[in-house]
Amino acid sequence: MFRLFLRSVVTLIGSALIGSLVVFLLLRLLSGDVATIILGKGATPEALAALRDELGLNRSWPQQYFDWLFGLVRGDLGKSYAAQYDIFHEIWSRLGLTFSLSVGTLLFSAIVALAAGIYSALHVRDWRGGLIDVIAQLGLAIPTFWAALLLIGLVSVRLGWLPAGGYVPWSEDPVGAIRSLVLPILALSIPMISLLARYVRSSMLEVTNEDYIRTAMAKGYTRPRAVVVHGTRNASIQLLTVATLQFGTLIAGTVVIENIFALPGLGKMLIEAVGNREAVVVQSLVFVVMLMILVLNFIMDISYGLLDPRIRHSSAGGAHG
Amino acid sequence: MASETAGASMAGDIRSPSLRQRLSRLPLSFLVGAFLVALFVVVGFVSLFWTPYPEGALSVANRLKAPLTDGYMFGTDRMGRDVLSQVMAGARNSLFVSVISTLIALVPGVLLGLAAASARGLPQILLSRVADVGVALPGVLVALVVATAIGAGNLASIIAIVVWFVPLVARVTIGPARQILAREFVEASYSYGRGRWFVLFRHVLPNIGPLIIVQGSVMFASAILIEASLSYLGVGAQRPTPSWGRLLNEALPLIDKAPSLMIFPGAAIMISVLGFNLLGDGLRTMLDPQQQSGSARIA
Amino acid sequence: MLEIRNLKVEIGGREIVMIDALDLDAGERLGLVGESGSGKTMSAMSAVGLQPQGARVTGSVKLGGRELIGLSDGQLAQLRGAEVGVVFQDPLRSLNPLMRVGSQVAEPLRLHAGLSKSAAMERAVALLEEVRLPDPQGLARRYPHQLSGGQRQRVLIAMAIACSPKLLIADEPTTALDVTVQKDILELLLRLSRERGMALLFVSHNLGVIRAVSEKVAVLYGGHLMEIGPVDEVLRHPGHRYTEALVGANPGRSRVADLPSQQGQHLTTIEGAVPAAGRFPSGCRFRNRCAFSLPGCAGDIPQTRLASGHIFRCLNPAIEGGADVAAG
Repeated sequence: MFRLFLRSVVTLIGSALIGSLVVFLLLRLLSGDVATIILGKGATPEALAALRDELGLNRSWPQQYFDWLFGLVRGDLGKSYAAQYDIFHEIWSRLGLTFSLSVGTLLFSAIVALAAGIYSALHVRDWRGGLIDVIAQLGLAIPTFWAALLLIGLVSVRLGWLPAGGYVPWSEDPVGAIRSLVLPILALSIPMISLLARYVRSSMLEVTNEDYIRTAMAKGYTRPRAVVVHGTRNASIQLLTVATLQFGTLIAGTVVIENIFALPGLGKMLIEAVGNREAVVVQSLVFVVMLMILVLNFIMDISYGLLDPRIRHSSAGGAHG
Repeated sequence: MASETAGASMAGDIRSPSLRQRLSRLPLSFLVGAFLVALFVVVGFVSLFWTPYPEGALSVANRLKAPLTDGYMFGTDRMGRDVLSQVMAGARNSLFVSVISTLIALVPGVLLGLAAASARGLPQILLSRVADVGVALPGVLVALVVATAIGAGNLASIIAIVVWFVPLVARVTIGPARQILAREFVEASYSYGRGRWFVLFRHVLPNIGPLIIVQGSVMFASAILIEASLSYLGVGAQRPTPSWGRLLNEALPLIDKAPSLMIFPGAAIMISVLGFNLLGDGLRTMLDPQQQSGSARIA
Repeated sequence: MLEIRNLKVEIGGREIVMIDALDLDAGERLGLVGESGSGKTMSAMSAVGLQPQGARVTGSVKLGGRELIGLSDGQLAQLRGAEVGVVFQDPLRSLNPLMRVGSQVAEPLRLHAGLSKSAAMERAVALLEEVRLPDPQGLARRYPHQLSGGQRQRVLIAMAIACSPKLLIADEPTTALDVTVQKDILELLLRLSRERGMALLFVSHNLGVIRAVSEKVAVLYGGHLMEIGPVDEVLRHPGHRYTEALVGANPGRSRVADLPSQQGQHLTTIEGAVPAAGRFPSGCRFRNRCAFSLPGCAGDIPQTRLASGHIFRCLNPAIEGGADVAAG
């Protein structure tokens, strides 16, 4: 268990470093000059030089890189050029919303996928299972933003049940906050549930062939009940693993969804920054988002170790007969 | 005479199976997938030469027509441009971006995977880490960074997708490559004094080839989705380059006046992604029937 | 208490098992012996509804007078655990790796006796003690992978007897265990059967193990009953030629090797191989591999019944028929 913890920490730190390097290098290698990105092609040489001084772009690349990383820890990431907001502060204040949106989607999707997967596994041979399979295939192919548009069109415009955008802060009106998150979470969940449900189904089907199902039947369960009672635990753990791998894609979807629903999270901030060619903002923001993904992966890795007793108690056990 | 008719009927029996029989043996997912993919490719190709109306043609008088009115099968948008033509052209763009990015990413991805599978010690750890990092950097994020650096457009999409795909291909390659490397005939090959890369290309690659093809199909689907997302955000293809994602973006403000505008591009995305997913599933079934858990039954 | 008549199990149209008559009295211990593929496991499992998916089971299996064939899945499930317990071969794979051992033992109690979680747990710990597991309280909280093979098998046994069933079916329970541990498990089964008056249907390919545990033995070949009778008599003076060959190939302990027919002989093997299902000859299933077969073996063979309850169907048996030879 400790080994798992150690390995997860190393993965977290290692991936974070490599990822930050990729972001850092991409910006510089692709454009050649960060100052030009920000000011645009028409800028005067004097303006460019001034900006370079201000942003410290004249330092060597390794120097810039390390200073940036330290800035992250210190809480100083500089200011946005166009809007002059403090980057660190802005990120920090928006973090909560993006986080709740993605984690909320993850939890919701996991629960629904578990139910749907178990149901379709129990009915794998008849039309009910087949129908769920088809729905899942379609769900996988639906782009999140299209699902969002369809939901808005139907639920907000046609039926008027839920708002089409905007966010009411939790502190002001919890119910309003929840209402503004329903459609976004739903839109994000559709492809997620489709993907996860298929995994749940196949792990339930695998469980059917295990010997301990036979034992459960011998104890007094019918086969379907035995699979549900004993297989669900197994399937949930596998579900967790798969869900973590999808977190990156989920965050990507969150960025788009925040824009559609005008939710003031990190995603919206990112798109605005990209639109304004704010290289400095983008660099830090993407890194923070990436860090979020990695931290969540880390938490999931550890949870997996805690949930699977074979890993949790990895000693060999007693040796008497 | 009896013998003649007997001979004739025998000849009839050994005729090769009809096309219909051969088709029915293929898995359904493959057939449907192949059909949808073919549809996508054909439409994209055709749009190079012909669309019902010229792609970018504005016609303010004909703006916001509903579908199936006045000869506009899918209706028109805010500026009177024919939606059907734009959807067809969008297929072409998606095709272009996905093919290029997938092909570019395959080679370094496979090489990286092979290297990581056959390395030992520190290089192996490093390479595996690089392959894993892809999990944390989704295509859309990378695309945003790239777009910041070089500006929006198809090039940004392509670079982003390639950066996302290379570690993905590597990750998929490592497992099976390792399995094959552990087999005896590979050991024998090493003992003949063959170098590592000879073994990798001669023995490992042909064996994992089919797997890569299956993965390629799924990657196409991803690429289409990512390209659409990027164009939606305004980071991908810009006007006049056609793009499904951007069409959806333009449909949002008009969602109450012209709801049909969001249906067609979105459906087009869904159909092509579905096609590639099904094709990949079908290929997987055909290549490795053992993987199907079809024989298991709970109730 | 257990009456099996014409139990037939078919898979894909092929007959796998056909047991014409098998009886077990209350508290009696019967060993079902045969080579791998003889259908012994299939018969035992099919009798209580644990046959493989897609298998067709016909005939009559009466437990305490109640007909089991034809009952619904739910009804059979009700019976299992409560009236019949089953212990399987591979203790590690037969236990849910993600559930604590105590909870797994408590399960049948909650299912059939309707006990609350805590009451069931208490009973479970008592059961673990009854199967002579050390530190039952602590062990109940552990997971299967933390136990040794022998401990796991005891847990399986505890699970099977939890609701005091009238019949315990044990399918090769010691095959996957160390030799030193086997003896302990067999003694445990014997003791439980005696103390609880529980009938035992013990399935094995190992004659020595069968000998140690059973009072009666039934020999299976190709899904058919070859011979049945008191264990000492059948193994020392086998009637059916197959049993004789089987015993010759498994001298095991010295007493069995004292067979008059085996004196001074080396270990024998049975020529040929067990045919695949559906490819057995007519009449006596064993006749194509039998050194003593007669032309008449291809047809129906009458039963030879001895006073002791020793029954077999063989036209050229290793021993003479006794006083009561019944036809048909």
